[in-house]
Amino acid sequence: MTTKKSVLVALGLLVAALTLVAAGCGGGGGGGAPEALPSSSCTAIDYGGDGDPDYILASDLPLQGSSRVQNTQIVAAIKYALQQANYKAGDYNIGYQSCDDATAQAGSWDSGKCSANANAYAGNSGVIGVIGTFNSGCAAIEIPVLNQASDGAIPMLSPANTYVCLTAAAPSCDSTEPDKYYPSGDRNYLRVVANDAYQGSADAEFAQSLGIKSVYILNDKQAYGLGVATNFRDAAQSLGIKISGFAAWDSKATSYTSLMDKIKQTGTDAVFIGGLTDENGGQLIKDKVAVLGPNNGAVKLLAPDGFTQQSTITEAGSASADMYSSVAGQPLNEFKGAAKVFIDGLRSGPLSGATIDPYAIYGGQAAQVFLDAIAASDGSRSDVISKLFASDVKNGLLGSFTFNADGDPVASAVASNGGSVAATVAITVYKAGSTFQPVKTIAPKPTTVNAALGK
Amino acid sequence: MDATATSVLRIMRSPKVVNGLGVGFVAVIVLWLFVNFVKDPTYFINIGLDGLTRGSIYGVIALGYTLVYGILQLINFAHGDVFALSGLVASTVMLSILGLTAASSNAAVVGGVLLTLAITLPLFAIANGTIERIAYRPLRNAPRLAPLITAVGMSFIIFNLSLALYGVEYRSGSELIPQGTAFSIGQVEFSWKLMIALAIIVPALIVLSWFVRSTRQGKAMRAVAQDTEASAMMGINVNRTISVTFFLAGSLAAVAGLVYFLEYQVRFDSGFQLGLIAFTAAVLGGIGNLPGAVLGATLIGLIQSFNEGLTWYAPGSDWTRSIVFGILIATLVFRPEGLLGERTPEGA
Repeated sequence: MTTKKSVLVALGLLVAALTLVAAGCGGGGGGGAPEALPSSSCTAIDYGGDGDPDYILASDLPLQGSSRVQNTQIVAAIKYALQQANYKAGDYNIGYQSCDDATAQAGSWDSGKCSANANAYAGNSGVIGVIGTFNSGCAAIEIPVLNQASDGAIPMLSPANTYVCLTAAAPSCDSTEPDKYYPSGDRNYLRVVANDAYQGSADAEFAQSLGIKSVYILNDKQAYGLGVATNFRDAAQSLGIKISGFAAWDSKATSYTSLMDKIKQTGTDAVFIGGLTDENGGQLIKDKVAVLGPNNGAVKLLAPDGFTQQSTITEAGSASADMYSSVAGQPLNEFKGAAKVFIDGLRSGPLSGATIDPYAIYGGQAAQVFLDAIAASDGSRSDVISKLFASDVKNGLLGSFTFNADGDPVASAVASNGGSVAATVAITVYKAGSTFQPVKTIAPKPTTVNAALGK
Repeated sequence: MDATATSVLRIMRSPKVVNGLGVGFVAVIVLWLFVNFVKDPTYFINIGLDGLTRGSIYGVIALGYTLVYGILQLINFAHGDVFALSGLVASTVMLSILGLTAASSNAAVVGGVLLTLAITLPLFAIANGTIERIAYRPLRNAPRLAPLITAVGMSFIIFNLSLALYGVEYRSGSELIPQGTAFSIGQVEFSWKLMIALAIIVPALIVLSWFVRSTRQGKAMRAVAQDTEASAMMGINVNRTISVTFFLAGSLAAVAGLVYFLEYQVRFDSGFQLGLIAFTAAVLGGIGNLPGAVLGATLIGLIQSFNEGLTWYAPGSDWTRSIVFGILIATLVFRPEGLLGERTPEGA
């Protein structure tokens, strides 16, 4: 072996040794700062406390595309909650990384990015939990990966997933759901937002209150869109509303004029569009108005929370006027007490006076619940999961609530956030103008919710 | 493989069986259309007019593909992305520079459309010509795979350029134009969308047709398309002729981009889907054949609208792409050169 080769081999061994040492230093809880998640998807570790963080709390949200504004507000709310806690959860120092599950090319969440992010969390022993995802389709990809993480299942708490079958079995779900999301057999996923059975029920009850006798239902063929459309259909049928049709819209289509012509032939009173603005929703709304008339006319337009964002009004323009769109939770102006203090601080601080999106509050609530669970735990992921399921939130940002065994929020007997119903099960219907303005808050009847679940 | 299977395969491959299947396929479609027509003729025609609106836009894009293929035997994958970028640039001119809004007068909007065309037509003619000069001309004598891959690469570059310049949001000028029905004949409704599309596209096609048929440069284009070497021997400047073809294709993309922006909504990735449809239309009609591209595009527009709009056993939008490509495959099985195409060494 020549001298040059010997030097190269020695250098190679040195690099390998350093790599092993660096890998050994990664991970949290065992001394030293945790290894940061990859910068290709995540921000640098945000930590404003003393010393180094013991663990990383990550958020996984789509930060590009039509829902960017909503999700940057959720990130701001999580950061604000952490700052208020001085980046501490009990004895543990918590650093925060915001990860993006969207790509610019997709303009929304991307299945490949969700998968890559999930594997990055699963491979990092310093990650104590993940707040996310925003889109149910992305959650369906990430939950099983985090459920089987080599250093123990990673707890997930979503501020926005509403697809019923992520947590609970129902006749409307596939026979393998939700078990296929939890291959280890143990649960690691919860959410602070009411599922689509509630939203579909509330939308159906609202449609009934408008005197709608028949409705044509469209969906975007995604897990969320098809799910909420199915829940709405089953709830509406139970209320005696005739289903004029149930079909999908092709998000890649140029125009929906023919589809709307077909709907017009049914003589329906309303159209419900289950899906996302990102899925060419602006064109769909324009063509609805062009063929079926304005939304305050003979054919009303109803939509779930996938459309309750300013980008819907921007993209659909005047055609969005007077469409109804819902979001889980109460209108912000009805929050009182601790929730109002948090909202005011968030608005005047990180958001610089901007109008707060309802989902920002869910993000803040998810962060607070996570910090409380970590504080009460022994620092292991499994114990954090146990403490999350045992959470008993009182006077939280979304009122008082606990979680059931599925990981869904359950309102405590007495809502104490100042509203008439706990925000976690309340659904507010908004009307589009220059912005979305609240019209009515509905806590759907248990019988309607059961019908929405297909029971 | 046993003898039974072999004989079944032989029967299936016989021309009589293949032709019988083809005739049966066409008969089912004709019957389906006929029943839907009889059930409600007015509605059927109205749906057809919507298909015509879509098809007219597909046609302008398809002409860009077919022009380039006809002269260079190159599938210019970048064409769809040039179309999308032209629509986005049109949005900048009309909304940002001219400041047109829903409250603008009709005269202002018409003036804006003309001014936009005056800017985007030469701009995208030059842009498309530049693409040819930089990416395709150096590969003129390379194996055919090289320019094909280069075209895919150019497509990605323009796609990402659009994304970098305009982000992911849709842009639309539909608020600038009237919506709904322009006029009716009986209960047949002619929409503003159709009228505006035809008002912009028909003059563009007339100019294109005149250019290709009647000008010296157009004749040179046809000569180069038929035989490049013989054209060069006859003194035709082949490189210049190819450049002119790319200029024309770029101008057509600019026309289509403006119409699409005005009637629908455009963003960085609109060119992928529209480009795919337009390319399919060009192949269906007979790639390299100008009337064939328009015919193919019109048929695809009609197929989409009938499938999504008709009420008697229409499969719906879930199946639109499958049906379009199913019909394309069926057509190519029986007529590989496309509906109006001529048999060539490549297409035979």
